[in-house]
Amino acid sequence: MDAVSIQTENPKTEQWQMLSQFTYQTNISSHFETHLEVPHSTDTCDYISGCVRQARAYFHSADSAPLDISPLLLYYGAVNLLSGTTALLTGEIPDINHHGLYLGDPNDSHHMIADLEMRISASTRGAFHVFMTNLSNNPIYSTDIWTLSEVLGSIPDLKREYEACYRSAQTYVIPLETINLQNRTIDRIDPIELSRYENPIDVFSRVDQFSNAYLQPQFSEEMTHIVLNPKVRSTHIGTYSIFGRKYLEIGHVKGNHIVTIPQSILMLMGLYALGQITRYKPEIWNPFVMADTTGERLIIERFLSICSRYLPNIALNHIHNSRIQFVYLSSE
Amino acid sequence: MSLRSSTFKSCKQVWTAPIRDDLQTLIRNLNQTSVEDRNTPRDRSHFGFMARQLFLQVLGYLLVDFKRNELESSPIPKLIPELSDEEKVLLHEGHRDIRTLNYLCLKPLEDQLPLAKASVDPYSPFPDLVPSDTKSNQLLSDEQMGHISEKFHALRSMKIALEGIQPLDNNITEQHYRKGVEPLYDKFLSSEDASDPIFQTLVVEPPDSPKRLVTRHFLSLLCIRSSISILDQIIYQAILNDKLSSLNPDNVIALSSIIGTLSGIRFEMTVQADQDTFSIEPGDIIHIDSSSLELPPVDFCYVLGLDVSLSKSLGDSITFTLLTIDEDLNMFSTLLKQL
Repeated sequence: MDAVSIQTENPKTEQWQMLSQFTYQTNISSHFETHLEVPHSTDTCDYISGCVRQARAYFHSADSAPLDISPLLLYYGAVNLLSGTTALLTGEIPDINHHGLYLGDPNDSHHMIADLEMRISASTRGAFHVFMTNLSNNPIYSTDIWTLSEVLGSIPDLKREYEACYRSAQTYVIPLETINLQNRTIDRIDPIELSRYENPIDVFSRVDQFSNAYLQPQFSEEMTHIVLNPKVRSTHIGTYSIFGRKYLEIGHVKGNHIVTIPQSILMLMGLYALGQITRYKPEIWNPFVMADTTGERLIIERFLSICSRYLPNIALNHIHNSRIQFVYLSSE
Repeated sequence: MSLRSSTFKSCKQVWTAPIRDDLQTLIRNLNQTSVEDRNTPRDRSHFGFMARQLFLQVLGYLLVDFKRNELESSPIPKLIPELSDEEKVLLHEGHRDIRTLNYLCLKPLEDQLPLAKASVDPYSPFPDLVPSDTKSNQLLSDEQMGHISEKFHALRSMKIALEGIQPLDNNITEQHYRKGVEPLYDKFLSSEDASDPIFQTLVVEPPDSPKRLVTRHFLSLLCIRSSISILDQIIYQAILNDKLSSLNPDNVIALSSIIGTLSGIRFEMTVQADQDTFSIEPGDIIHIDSSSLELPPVDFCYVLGLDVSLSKSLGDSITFTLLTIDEDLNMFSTLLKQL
């Protein structure tokens, strides 16, 4: 995806203004004519318009709602936003009849909110399945159990807080520093970023398409960084933080598979788990909101804040097939 | 089958030649040393280092041995490790076949243009160091050498060289040929400069003008010299390795544009430095996996030069300057097209 910079003083407002273009049938029709050569119906346009309007309303409400209910509002907003995005990409109303995820029952072995477990439904009409199919190229394995911890550990902008809160847990993203040289670009990693992993160099084998994107990592004891040279004519891999920093995504080992889920879907999964707990398990959620002493509340709040800011941005990236970076540049 | 294909096919024979393993071991021992032996009398690696600077394949090693006294009494004296008699014989046998191949390939020139031959044969300025009683262990069979020389005789550059004799002044000497061909060869290798007046002659002069015909004649000799030099280098590399070093998507990190100059097609390629790419030296012939790199077919190249960049924070890389080699083993393919 090409990177596009959009200058703004307020990214959240700006991105919703861009998305709100798609609340007007004229703009939706124009988008279809430009990007898709398939006929589309009025129902589809109404669907998209409704999804975007509702998503905006949910996201705005969540921003001012207390933690007691904000996860649920954000989850509904995320589902609407991704549904509208899917319809814009396919020209059709997505066939969704349930969440596509199941939350496991919290039990005594779960000490923290991050221990919550969820399972992916095998149904192709689940929201998770539909979004994964249309918004990523990654396969879906429905027998897997995912914890909220795994989801949180896969969000680049949450990495620092996550590592501070869950000291023994590993994260699933590695920050890269991109260096522009005279005739090429390299990505490099501070070795300290791999210090949490038992087998640091093996980590690269779990990064999807790593060998298509980079040559063998260069590292020795004398070197200050692990250097990744992109292959000529390489596949582009990685995900980006809100501020445009590139991260490698370490796949999750699930049975015989190594699974990578894009950020937008990870956010959906995290919001689903928190939304379900909020809605159906207030006996768990209320004590957490009122009296958390572990510091985990900060992580959850930060996660919600990231979703509020970045999920609409990612939706725009999908719609425009570009990586949109909102920047504030001083005129001086 | 082209000269290039025929030459690579003959490498298979080199690999199975009885003297190959011993010769390979000897040359490697003269280029490498263990950490423990470094800077001790057992360290012979500077022998190979000096030999490689001559770009004369096996002959380089014989010359270092031959010039031992001269090198040891130079301003920066170098103690040249001794070679045993068996080692000398091995080097004689290795050089003899390459020298014989040169002789067979250049025979038409020897017969019809003897004054020109010295300007074309890269070994001619140097003494013939192979004793006449050298044993008959061969790298290449007589039959295979015959195949290669047949292809060489059919080169367009050879035909042009042998055609363009008439307008030449009868006072021309071997020195004229050497002064005409050798500096131009070195110049075209070392720079992309196409402003040499000789190109203007090709472009401006009418095709049948004596000046153009003479220029054409000399430039064809240049191309022959290129072909014979590359041929020698490929056979030599077959002694040392079972395959050419390859630049491919698993080590290439940057490409420059491919530039077609009036002398040849050259470009730069940057690779990640590792054990394999560090072993490539100027003067080597290497393989480019051009289809995987989505390049025009530039499959085999001559390494003109290299720049090594070592950095603890940015990694190690090597940038090679490369000149393509065509089916005639000619580095100056675009030049030949002008003739």
